[in-house]
Amino acid sequence: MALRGDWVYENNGGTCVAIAGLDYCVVAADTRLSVGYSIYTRDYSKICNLCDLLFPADKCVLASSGFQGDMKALQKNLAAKHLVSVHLLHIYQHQHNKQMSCPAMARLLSNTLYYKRFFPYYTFNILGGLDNEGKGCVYTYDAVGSYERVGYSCQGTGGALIMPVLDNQLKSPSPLLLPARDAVTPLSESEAVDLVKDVFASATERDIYTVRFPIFFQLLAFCESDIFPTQQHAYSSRVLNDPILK
Amino acid sequence: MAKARVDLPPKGGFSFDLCRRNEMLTKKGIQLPGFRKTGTTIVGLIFEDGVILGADTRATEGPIVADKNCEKIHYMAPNIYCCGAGTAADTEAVTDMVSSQLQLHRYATRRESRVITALTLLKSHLFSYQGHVSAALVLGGVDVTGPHLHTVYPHGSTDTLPFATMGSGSLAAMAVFESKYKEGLTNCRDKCRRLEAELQLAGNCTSAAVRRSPVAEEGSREMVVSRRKRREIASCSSRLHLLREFGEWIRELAREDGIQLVGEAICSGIFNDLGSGSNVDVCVITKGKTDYLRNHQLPNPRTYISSRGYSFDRGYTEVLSTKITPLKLKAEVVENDAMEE
Amino acid sequence: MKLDASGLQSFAPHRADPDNLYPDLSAPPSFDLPGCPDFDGFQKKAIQTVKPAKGTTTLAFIFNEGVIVAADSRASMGGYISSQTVKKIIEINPYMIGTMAGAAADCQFWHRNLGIKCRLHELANKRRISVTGASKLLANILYSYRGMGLSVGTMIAGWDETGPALYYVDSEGGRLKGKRFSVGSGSPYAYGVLDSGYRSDLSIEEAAELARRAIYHATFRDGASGGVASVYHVGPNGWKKLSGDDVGELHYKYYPVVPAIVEHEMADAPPA
Repeated sequence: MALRGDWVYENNGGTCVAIAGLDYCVVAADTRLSVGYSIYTRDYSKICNLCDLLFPADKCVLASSGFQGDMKALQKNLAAKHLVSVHLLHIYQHQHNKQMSCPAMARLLSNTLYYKRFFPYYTFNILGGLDNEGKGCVYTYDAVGSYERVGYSCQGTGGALIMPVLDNQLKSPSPLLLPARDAVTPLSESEAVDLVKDVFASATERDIYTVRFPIFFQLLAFCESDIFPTQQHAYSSRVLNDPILK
Repeated sequence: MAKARVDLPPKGGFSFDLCRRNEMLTKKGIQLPGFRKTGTTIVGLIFEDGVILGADTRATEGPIVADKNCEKIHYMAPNIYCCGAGTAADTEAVTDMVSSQLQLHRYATRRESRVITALTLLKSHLFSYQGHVSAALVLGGVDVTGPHLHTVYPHGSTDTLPFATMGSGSLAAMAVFESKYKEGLTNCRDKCRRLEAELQLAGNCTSAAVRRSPVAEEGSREMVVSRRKRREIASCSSRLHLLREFGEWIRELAREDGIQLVGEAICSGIFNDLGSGSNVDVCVITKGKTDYLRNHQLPNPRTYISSRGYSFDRGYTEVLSTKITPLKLKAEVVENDAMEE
Repeated sequence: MKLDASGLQSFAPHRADPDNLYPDLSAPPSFDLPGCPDFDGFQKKAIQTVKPAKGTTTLAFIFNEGVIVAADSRASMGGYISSQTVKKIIEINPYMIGTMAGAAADCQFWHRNLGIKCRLHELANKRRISVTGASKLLANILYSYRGMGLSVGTMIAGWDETGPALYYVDSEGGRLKGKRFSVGSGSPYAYGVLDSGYRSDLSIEEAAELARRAIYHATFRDGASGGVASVYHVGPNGWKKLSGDDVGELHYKYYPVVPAIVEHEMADAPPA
């Protein structure tokens, strides 16, 4: 692989937010791609169900912002690894007799990002889903693969605007504290969705790279009962058709 | 040859060495402080008897919106206004400065300022600073010689145009002007002229004349004349009165069309250029009258507000210490006959 | 340029793939390099662009009762605090822990890798790897990537057959054995407290308190450190987390606010 020019990155803007609850996970992203003062498209999904073609009932989704080219490459890379391991070579499934869990995918994503340590994917990622116990989980990453499990996170151009609000509303005692203190996101699923809508509407007011009008963003909620794709998608389209948001 | 220009400020103390130094520092990777830029859409057009200026109201600092509702249409003289794009401080300073020079000039000459005077002052200032004053302007006004519209570039070059756009959203706005300007305004004006001419031909102006006039019928359809308006026109007692009424109505139409077109152009900038946003300001300057329509359109209402709202109980911020210092007011009677006017 | 990718080899048994449909995916992973002529320039610019998480205070010292290891928990990307809950003390195995300073991704990845290697050593040799050996494994890997822009400053602390051991390893290839180390942007402040309070005959509680206080003072003066001060102790029976305290709360513990009586002060407004 040879680079023609010196520099190969651009920032296409956008913001992703994820909140984990007791038995759900809300992942949201705006849908605009832009560069400089121009808009490429108002309708690009930054959320990727890593293997939605053949095996869509996966338990986690990836939301990324940054450079669209790298975003796509990363998603394809991960989806392919997942497909290869799950469907074609059956390595993962044969060895573990189950599909890849969200924590496993989180580790895979970290390694995938780190393998590009010297030529990074210019992407800022959040992985949201349900862990092995059915609890909501959110993993947040930097561009070269350092990652951490958190209760909520946001990334992208509006990240620095949204994070303080999420901290204010959702911050729970640090898991590092000893003696440990109870750390559960105290919101119901509908409250979390409401909060996400509100922070997006707020970020839009001050960040030029987060969608202005019309507002589009996708929400995917996972409940223990509805891990099936139809229900996920029904939820996302319900939000897309929300008259207030349109 | 060496003629002192007395009415200009003393020759500038602008050191270009500093620009070169700053360039060098930036190359070395030192971040200069960010300026508040108005990534902007500003437009202007000339219509039948005046000029309409328009601007969005977003000011940005990098990717952050610094002001959601700033004013970009600056006052120059009662009959001249100027839209500014570029560094906010520069556009404000340069328009303020020229505005006061125009005021002084009016005091000296006791005549209404002319647009060309403002233009010359602006361009000579900008040229002398070689583009380092980053102000891109749309200057519009009506003076004794009629309506005028100019654009001024940061280096001091100028254009004279029937319709103009500037700023980062200029292409988006120009797309609207190029496709609609002629059709929207001239056509309507032509029709009104024909209508007026026919009315004049009709001579004896009765209600029947207006009603029967095929052009009036056509015009009324096209321009959505209300019945009431037609009755009003028809019931005018004298021909003179009628013509005056009708002329005003036509002007009103051209003006409304113009404002609408300017609004559309600004909205195009607001929606398609990330540097522009928020609301639409419009300024209509006609002979002897200026209407500054602040926030003429508000196309970006808040999309969603949490139904729960946010409330915080008392005690979130710990009180570490309290100190109360009551100010004892001391009334003092001051002998102030010296201050009496 | 040749890169040592031995650290990346997959240890999972590979199924034979007769058709080899996906050579890219089944091949052992390796580092992708940009094909531009100016590698250093590219690295510098890329790091400025993606701003990986970093900024830290960590410390460790050996005393009579074992090793104390402590760290803060803040990660920053430029001026932005990206996390207040980073786990900077990485548990390699029950008898050995590592600390993390520098780029978070580098530390996390290579510690993970070290953990795998230590486990494999244990399985192959039927005995735990020595701290000396583990730190040398890491130092050798880091040395092979020297000059490529890795940013790691780590301490490997543990208890092995020789007793307590502490090594400092960094991405420049350095590996030092010692009694007392502090690494990260807040280390000068931590050293100040640590050096003035250190004795080898401290009790475990005293030693933990010294470490906690040193981390607290570092977070007080260093903007890139903060969050929770975690303190670990490694003894003959392995490591144990002794405490985790929010440094904000520690501040009021060390400098309690005297509940002041409401002070009333009568003052004349100065005459105009």
